[in-house]
Amino acid sequence: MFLVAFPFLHEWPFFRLFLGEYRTFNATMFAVWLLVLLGMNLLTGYSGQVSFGHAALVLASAYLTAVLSQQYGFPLWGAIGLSGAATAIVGWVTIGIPAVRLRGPYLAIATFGLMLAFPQILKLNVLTQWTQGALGIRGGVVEPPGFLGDVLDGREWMYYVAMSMAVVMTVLFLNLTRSRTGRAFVALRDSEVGAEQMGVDVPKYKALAFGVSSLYAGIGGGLFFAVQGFVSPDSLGLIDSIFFLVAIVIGGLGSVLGSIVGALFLTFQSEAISALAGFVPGANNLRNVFYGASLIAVIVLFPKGIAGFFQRPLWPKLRGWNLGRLWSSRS
Amino acid sequence: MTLSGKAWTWVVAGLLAVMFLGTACVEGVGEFPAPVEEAPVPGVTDDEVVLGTHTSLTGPVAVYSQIALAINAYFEYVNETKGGVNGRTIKFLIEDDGYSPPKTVDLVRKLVEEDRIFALVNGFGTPTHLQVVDYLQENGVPDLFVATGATEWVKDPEARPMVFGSIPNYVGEGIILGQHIAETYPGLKLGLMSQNDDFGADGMTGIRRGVGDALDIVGEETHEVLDVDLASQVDRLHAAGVDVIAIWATPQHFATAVKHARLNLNWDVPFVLSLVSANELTVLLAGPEVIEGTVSLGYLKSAFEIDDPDVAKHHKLVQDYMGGENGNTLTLYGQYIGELVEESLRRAGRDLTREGLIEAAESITDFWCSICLGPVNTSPTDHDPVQGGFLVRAEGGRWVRFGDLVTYEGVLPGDMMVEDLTR
Repeated sequence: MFLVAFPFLHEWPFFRLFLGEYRTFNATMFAVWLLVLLGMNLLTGYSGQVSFGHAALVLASAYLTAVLSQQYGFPLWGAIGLSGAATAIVGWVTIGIPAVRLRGPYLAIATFGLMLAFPQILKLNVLTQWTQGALGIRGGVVEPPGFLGDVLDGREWMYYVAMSMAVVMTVLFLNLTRSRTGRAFVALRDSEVGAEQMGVDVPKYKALAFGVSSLYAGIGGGLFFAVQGFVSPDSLGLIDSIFFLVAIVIGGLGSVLGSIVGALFLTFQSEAISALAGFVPGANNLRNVFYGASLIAVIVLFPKGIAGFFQRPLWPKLRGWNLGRLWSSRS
Repeated sequence: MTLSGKAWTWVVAGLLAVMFLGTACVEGVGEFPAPVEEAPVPGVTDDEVVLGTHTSLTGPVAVYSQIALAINAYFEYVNETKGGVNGRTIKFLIEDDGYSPPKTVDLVRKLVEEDRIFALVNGFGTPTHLQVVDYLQENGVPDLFVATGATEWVKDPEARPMVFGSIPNYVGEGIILGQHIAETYPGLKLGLMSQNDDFGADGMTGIRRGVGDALDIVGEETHEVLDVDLASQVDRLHAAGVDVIAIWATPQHFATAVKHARLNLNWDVPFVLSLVSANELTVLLAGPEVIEGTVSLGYLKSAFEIDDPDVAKHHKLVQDYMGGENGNTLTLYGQYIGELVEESLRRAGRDLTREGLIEAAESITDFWCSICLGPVNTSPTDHDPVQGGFLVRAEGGRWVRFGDLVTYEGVLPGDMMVEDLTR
């Protein structure tokens, strides 16, 4: 109900007091971040591999979508799907497979390198005819298809597309993590040796986790371009990669609810701190202190993230209709 | 486990119900009369006009936050001493994007759609502002005096009528400095150093046009914003035997380059640098002896000219309204923006509209702000308020003007050539 009616709530007498048109955009970005963080959580929370390069994957897919749709005349949605698939393959083959040999900090360092290198690659002169160099690529305004044009404006349409994509991908994600493959990922995280003992093909599943994670990053990236209408080599950087990690740790590793909380965090953090600055003078200048402090607080107080906190004491009662299970990582 | 068949039925049924209800709600919307009358012009009431900006209060370039704070201080000064502009006080909303483009989009949309600002003023940063410039165009929000010299803002005012530059654009600045290099060091070898983005690329375009074939360019080095220092780039230019270096970098980066050349290599190569790094921060980081003799461009009075009544007044303003010690290059720039906005609002008159503000901002002729070294001129085909300045040379930790005012008034950056310069 909330999902479908959301873009219109701001026109209702009651809701317009606190919901602006701006919230539609907020909710759309939430869907984009949710996709990215689901992928990130699959990699880090479920299969135990740490990546600092996720923003590079998102950026790569955003670029691919931009080039395909703006220069080669692909329809936007086709371009997003294609970019998502391409990013998945790239993530699987060029990062996942080499990364099989890398563990823990070494993988983090390798992906860190990817993140540093990628914006520079986008600025290379030989690629300028596709990437437009540092100036980036502009997208047009997205209009809803004809028959919906009377009811929805561009941003509401964008919201539905992004949100339904996020919902579908979340359901698929839940199914994946409940499956044999999902259990293999979790086994990998807990102990590679143990997983191997149980017959899990460790290299195959490690690479696969990277591939699936890249698919989510890729679709998120394609939507990122569609929603923002612009992408440049500096649109996403190392800082954003780190924020993705911070967001899933605060939200909760190894659970879908964790990704949702993380996406909420990414969507509203800057605004929340701006609002805080209204009460606490100087809060605006201590932004990163707040992130650091909340990260430490979450790790100390709720080792399983905010999601873990909510799942333990409150949710067992609802287990009757399986909701608690739906959200937690262990089956 | 996967969702069981029964659960799926529930999910599908639920979604259908939700969609139906949603549609019903949508249709219902039309029946409610709009309970609050929209203000005819966003951000404008009888006694107030709301402006906003995005800047870096935190993040890698947080030092520039002083600009927005100085603009705010100037607006407070105008509100208190002149009762605002045309009977309206100015409210200035500052949002911190930490130099992260996705956050800029969030915050600018919030400013426009939630806080309903009348105009965006002095958005800070090229990568950050690039992410929102088209959004502001499409929504007809005036995008006044962006805080970078990227040619992107001013190269095509007809395609982007809402956006205005503020500092001399980097191509024009590069031409003036390049011509200085051509006149001072003819026949020698030139090395180029630039940041690997359009800040650096625009500057190097200008330098090349200004230098022409007077010097051989024997080395070209680039660096990234996140690089820690530029020592290796300087080493390579040293090895290539260059005689003079033109550099487009931030104060932090320029300081590492000039220190490495002077202190580690004992190399007294002349540096010609963008005005972006010709400020107090560079002096602080590199030390006054190290930067002695470096050449740049200036278009505003300097903070050290305390005998000038207008600069003295600026220091007073910083003390009274910003709680600071003294003004500097950045706060002076903030006041310049404040005065430009005040002038634009004044020209737009009492009946404020966004179109009216744009018309006012592009009809400024021969306006001298109190700390300007040259006149501000704009037109519908010229959204670049200041096009030129004086050459400055570092002496005892201060960049001192020499020579005449050099401008290329009214020329678009794409067409700018040495021949268009006037003195």
